[in-house]
Formats: sequence, C-alpha cells, structure tokens
Amino acid sequence: MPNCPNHLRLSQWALGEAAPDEHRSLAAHVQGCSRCAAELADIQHNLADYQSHAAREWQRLQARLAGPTAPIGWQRWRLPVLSVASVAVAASLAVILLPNPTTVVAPEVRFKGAVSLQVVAERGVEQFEVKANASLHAGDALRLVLAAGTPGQFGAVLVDAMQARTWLYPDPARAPRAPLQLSAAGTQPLADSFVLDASQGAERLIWLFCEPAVAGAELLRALESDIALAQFLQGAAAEQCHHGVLPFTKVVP
Amino acid sequence: MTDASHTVEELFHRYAPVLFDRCVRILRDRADAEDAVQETFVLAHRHLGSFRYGDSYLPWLYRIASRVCFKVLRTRQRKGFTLDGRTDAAPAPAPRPGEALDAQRQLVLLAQSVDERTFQILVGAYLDGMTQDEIADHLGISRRAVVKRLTQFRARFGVAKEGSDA
Repeated sequence: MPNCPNHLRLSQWALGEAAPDEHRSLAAHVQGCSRCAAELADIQHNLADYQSHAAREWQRLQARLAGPTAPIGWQRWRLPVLSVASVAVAASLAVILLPNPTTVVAPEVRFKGAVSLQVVAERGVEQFEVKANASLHAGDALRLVLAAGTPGQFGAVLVDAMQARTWLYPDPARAPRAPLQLSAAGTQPLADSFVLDASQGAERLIWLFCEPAVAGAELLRALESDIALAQFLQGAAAEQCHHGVLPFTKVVP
Repeated sequence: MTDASHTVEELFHRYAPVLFDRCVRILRDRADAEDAVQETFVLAHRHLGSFRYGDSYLPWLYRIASRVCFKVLRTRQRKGFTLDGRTDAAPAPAPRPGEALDAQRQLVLLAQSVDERTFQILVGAYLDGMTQDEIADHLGISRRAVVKRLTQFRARFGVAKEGSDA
C-alpha cells in the first residue's frame, strides 16, 4: 500500500496533530481504505483503553520519578546524563594509550577537557558499566555514551588479542568513510550496539575524539595502528583531541 | 516538581495513550506495554533537555518507546516466553533463512538476532509501514544506511521486501 500513511502519521492524526491540509488528505484516504480504517480503529481502541486508567498510570510514573534511582524489574537500562558523578565514573574508564600494546596500564585519566566515554554492556537482563580490565562474555552487547564539552568527531576500534582491528565508528560499510560527526556538545548515547564475537583473550577498545578543526582523515589514520596513534599524539593536532583505551578480557562462558 | 517534571506531565497526558498503542503493537501484551510506557517516560524525563524534535515530541517518544520494546522483547526471549505468554524450556529459535515474515511474530524473534538499530528499521518498514525515506528521517540516519540494513536483513533471513506478500 504505497499511498497509505504510516502508523506514526495515523497516530499524529488521531491526536489531532496533523496539519490542516494533511488532515484533509488523511481523512479522504482513510474513508476509502479499509486497511487504514481498521488500523485507525485499533489506535482509537488502544487510546480509549489507556485513557480509562491513565490517572493511575500517571501516579505510578510520579512515584518512579520521585524515587532515588527508580529501580525497576525488567528494565534496568539507564542512559547516563552528564553530571559530575557520571563524568567521574566515565573518566575512570579511560587510560593512557601507550605505544606498546603489551604494556599493562593501570586506569588513569588524561583528559584535557570535559570529554569522556562510558561503555555499557548488556548481558541478558543485566546492564553494567564496563570498567578497565573487566571480564566480558561473547554475546555481550556494548553501547557507547560520549560526553563532550564541544562538538567534534569521533572514532573507535576494537583490537583483539591477535591485534586485529574492528571498526566501531565509523561504520566500515558506510561510504564516504568519515568519523562520526557530533554537531553539539553534551552527553550522547551513540546509536549502535556491538555484540562481542566468540573469540577469546585480551582486547582493547580505543577511541579518539577531536574537535572539528582536525582533519577527519587524520583521526582515522591515527586509529589504524598503535604506532600511528602514538605518532598522532605527539603532533600538534593532538592538542585538540582526547582519547582513551579500555582494556578488557573476553571469555566464552 | 522541576520544570522538566512539569513537561513530562504534559507529555504523559498527551502522548502516553498513543505510546501505549505503539507498545501494544510491538509487544502484543498490554501489561508489558504499560510497563514500557512507564519506562519510556522515565527515559524521556532524563533526556528531556537534550532530545527535542521540532514542534512535535511524538517522533522522539516513538523512538524511545521502540528502544524500550526492543529490550523487553530481548528479555522475553531470554526467559523463553512465547507470544501467548507460555514459558518454554528453551528460548524461541531465531528465524530460519527463507522463513516467511509474519511481521509482528518475527519481530519478537528477530529482537534476539539483530542489533537495536536494525530492529528499529525493521519496525519502521514492516510494522509501521514507513518508506525508506521516512525511516531515515525518523531515525535521523541516511537512506543509504536504511537500505543497507534492510538488504543485509533480507539476505540473511531470506525475507521478501517490505510491502510485498511474504
């Protein structure tokens, strides 16, 4: 049904949020389309159902919002917001990247500004922050939350025990190849999640954030090898960049 | 109550019913859908300052609700729940290549098999009836990214194009 409105548009129309001209065209369409008429009837049935106990649901939500951390049964996923506490926690995850990948590095902070990366893992119903030297499982899904005080560009790679690199950002299949562009400062949960494969051993997540003035190609080159990153960090562009390494061990449970 | 809470109250009374409809469509369980609406507004409250979509909050809330539903479906899968609420000894299997797509049923199964972004694209394409351009606009990604994910999905599971008989 190529001319049928999508469900979101029908819902907006049901709420009275359609523009006047769209309202007329949708009304005409629904009158002549049994499929859309049925879909609209479903929407209106569900609206009426919920509105019959919306006051109770609002009270329940108020209690959740008033609680300290609002723990909940099946849904414990929390997207962090920028705060002193979250930046401090995220900063503890960042360690200085040394050129020699075999060097054991204690968690340490080297930020020149308010830029940090938080890594959150999802395992079954459990979500937890990934700390340095954590033990992760094959199948764990990782999400990245970037907190940056300025707009900029971002790249990240996973380096496995065999020093093979898997690009997280940018998506290697996307062309043209360019760092992820972040047009505004703030805390931004990045869109994708990454499921760890079944290989085992020590791995590292390496990330690099640079202000817009730095060439995107230079940022990407820096993430292609440890040597390239070490050289990059010695150059002038590094003054406008922030980076970190999160080492972890991957096991098959 | 903070200003944000006031806004959440306004958003709740305006949009909670339609988000309930959205969650029922994906989850096919009214109790789970009510919980998903709650979680959607908890997340909206936390991110109200940074996520605004022009004059209408509904597309933004839709996206949050979809993410919440994705996690509910994954949890349901891991616990071995079937669509009718029975508990199986083992989680439902991933769809087999070539298996015909019954959009809602397969979305439950696919939540375990695809990443969240792909899941949101599939919901847009197969459940919400969005065009590829509409999906790209709704999710804030390129049309090329939508096409790529749909192509990969169809190739992996042998599924017909959205809008065709499958």
